[in-house]
Amino acid sequence: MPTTAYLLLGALLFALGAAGVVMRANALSMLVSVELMLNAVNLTFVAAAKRFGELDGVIVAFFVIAVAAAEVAVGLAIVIDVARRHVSVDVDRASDLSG
Amino acid sequence: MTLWLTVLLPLGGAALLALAGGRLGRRAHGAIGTGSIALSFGAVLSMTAMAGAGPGVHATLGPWLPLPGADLALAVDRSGLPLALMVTGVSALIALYSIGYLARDTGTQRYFAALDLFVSAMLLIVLGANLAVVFAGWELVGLCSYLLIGHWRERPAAAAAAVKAFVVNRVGDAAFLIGLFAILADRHTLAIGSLGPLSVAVSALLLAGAVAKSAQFPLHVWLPDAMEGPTPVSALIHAATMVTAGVVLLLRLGSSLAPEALGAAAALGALTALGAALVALAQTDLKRVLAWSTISQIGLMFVGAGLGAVFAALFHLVAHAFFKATLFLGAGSVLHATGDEQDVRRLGGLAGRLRWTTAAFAAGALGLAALPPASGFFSKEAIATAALDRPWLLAAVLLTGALSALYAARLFTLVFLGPAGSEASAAAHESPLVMLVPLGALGLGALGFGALVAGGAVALGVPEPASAPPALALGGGLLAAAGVALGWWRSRSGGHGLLPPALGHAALAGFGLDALLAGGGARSVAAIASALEHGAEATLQWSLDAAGRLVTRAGAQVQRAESGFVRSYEAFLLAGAALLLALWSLGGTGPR
Amino acid sequence: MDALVSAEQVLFAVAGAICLLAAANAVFRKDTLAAAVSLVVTLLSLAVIYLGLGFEFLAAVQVGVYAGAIVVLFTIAIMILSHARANESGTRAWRRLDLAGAVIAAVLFALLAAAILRGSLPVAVTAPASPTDIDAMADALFVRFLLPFEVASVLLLAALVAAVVLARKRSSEREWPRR
Repeated sequence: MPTTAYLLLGALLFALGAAGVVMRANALSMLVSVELMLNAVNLTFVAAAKRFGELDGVIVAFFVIAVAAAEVAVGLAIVIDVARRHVSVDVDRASDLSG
Repeated sequence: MTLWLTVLLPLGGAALLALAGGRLGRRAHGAIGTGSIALSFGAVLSMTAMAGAGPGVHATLGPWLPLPGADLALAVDRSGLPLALMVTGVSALIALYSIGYLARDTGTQRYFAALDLFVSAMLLIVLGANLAVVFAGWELVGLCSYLLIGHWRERPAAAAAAVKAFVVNRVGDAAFLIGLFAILADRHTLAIGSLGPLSVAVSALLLAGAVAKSAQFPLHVWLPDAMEGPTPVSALIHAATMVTAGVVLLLRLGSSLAPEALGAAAALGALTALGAALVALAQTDLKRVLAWSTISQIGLMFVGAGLGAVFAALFHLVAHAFFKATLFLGAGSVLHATGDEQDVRRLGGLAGRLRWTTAAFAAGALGLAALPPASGFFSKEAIATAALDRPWLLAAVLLTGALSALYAARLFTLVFLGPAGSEASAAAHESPLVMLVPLGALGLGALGFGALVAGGAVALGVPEPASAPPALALGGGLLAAAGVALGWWRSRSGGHGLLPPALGHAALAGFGLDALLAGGGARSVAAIASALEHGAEATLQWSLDAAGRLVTRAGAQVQRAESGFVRSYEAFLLAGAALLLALWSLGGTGPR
Repeated sequence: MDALVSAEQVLFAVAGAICLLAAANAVFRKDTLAAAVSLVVTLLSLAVIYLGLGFEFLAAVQVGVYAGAIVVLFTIAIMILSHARANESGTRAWRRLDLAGAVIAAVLFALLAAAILRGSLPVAVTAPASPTDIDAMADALFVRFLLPFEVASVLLLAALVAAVVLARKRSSEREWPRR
């Protein structure tokens, strides 16, 4: 399987995630999109690892997963807290940081 | 080097007074002020006595401006020594007088410092070897005039008069300076001896400077107002020395000036002399009569200088210095005695109470009226003689002489003769000795100087032209006598108006020129200045506002990025990433 | 056997297709629970791809941590927030953003694809030198990258504490919703 195919799949997934991040207003959906982008990156790294015969790409993917876990935990906690204040998870409404 | 001492001694006095005078008392101020001038007089005297001292003596202190012929150099030309003698001598006497006059004044430190500086500067004008030094002195005397006219700082009239004097002089100074630049551009030197014939334009510019400094028409308006200063100041600066600086300039430049300019000077002088004499006749203020009289007499000097009669002009200058200074100091004595009563209608009958003052004033008045044997007689004759071949000028000179006699007699009669016009006048007391001595000395000079010169006993350093034809001398003398008689007769009953009322009113107001200049000139200049100020301020304000508005608007634009909307943040984020990616891959550093 | 396409290629094709479809579903579904489930599918298909590439350990981690823990977290959060709504349809002032998002995503993909296709990567085959040896993996994680490993654990601890602090109820607040 040519490496390019994996890379293209990764790029596609990344673009999908990017679109979702901007187009969805639901905080949870946004987080899902972010996770998707992370996974796309993982796939790219893994394909590169395969291509160059090194394990380093896999290690990076491994750590990405770890960090993603941490990020999701904190992110969801924030979403819950914000949702408490605004009674909604609509990020468009939660523009408290404006100005 | 003695030459430079004459300038440096009073300058040192001024510096001493300025720096250390605060700790010294009033007497010390007077002593230093008078002493330094007296020493300077001594230096001039010694130079005169020295064999070889005379025209041609040159002394250079050192290089000054990086311009050709602009060193710190003094040179004695034909008029230098007589003038230096007169300046230092009269100044010393007046300084002595001032000690008494300002006995209760608190500003003596300023006064004597300015006085000393003035004498220094005047000597620069008289003795300067090049026009740069002369101009420096020119400006400095203007400064001292401003300081001294406004000596009584708390008087708004005095401050206004000082400013007026300075500003009007400035007009002439500007012309002078432009003339200097023209000379420099053309002749490449400022040394007086090597100027060669100057163009009409340059001569006119220099003449304008002389006109302003010497208070000739139309720049004479500052002199009557300058009477706000202390009387000794009026005597020294506005009678004997500074106002004669214009004449000095004309005399020293002499042959370098274009003939048209000299002719204009003579004509202007004649016109001024006549007009000012008429105005003097109508004045009711003691000092103002003398001020207008000065303007008139200097007009006569301009006639002499314009005709190239150096001896005549110089003679009259020195003679006038004596008798006008005497008159002014006498007036000061009167003011001192009557508690500053200056209105002649309220004076009178002082002859009995102020004997010495009366005698001195009479001597001065004789000089002014040009009655023999007073000095004024001889000097006026000299000018008339020079004007023999110019009928209009001659007529003006003679008529002015008659008018001078008229108002001199009127003044003397009103102030000293007849009944006392007011209580102050009745309670007058004679002045102290320190004032009377200089007064007397100058009075003697007023009487005797002319005879001495005419008799050849005193040399002025200039070759004496042919003496006046007897007919002229006789005619002049008769006119003077007639004038005196008429003036005395019409005034003795206390009537002070010798002119027909219409003319008298106009004359009293100086024929309206002052009002014209103040109204038209001064007001329009003030309006322009105000407009410029507001315009500048408004522009500045607007630009500041515009800058502020710009920043605010820019900030508002930037603020739109701080929307608080997460999604737009992300959109920008990703867009930026896309941009970077594009740049990277398309910019040559991407994958080949 | 020399088939026209190898087994690996088929595996990739299938897994890849499922992945894409599920990803699109996960991103664009209004129902967040359904989205979460689709996310699971995406993650699992990716794990399959990793397997196909020969990285078993990573595939296991992907399944266990990502599809396991992370998605579970998501699901719990979705449950908690089930009655919190996001006004995604109707009056939304930011239609421009939607378009911008699509455009940006398309541009991104285009650029990436261009970069990928232009890059002169030789056609790599999956066979040679694929160090999936577990020993090599252990060596990498615990020897060469020991520091990042430990730091990551600290990070996880910090995240744990942060999440607890952020999400707990304030004693002064009532349970939601705040009226």
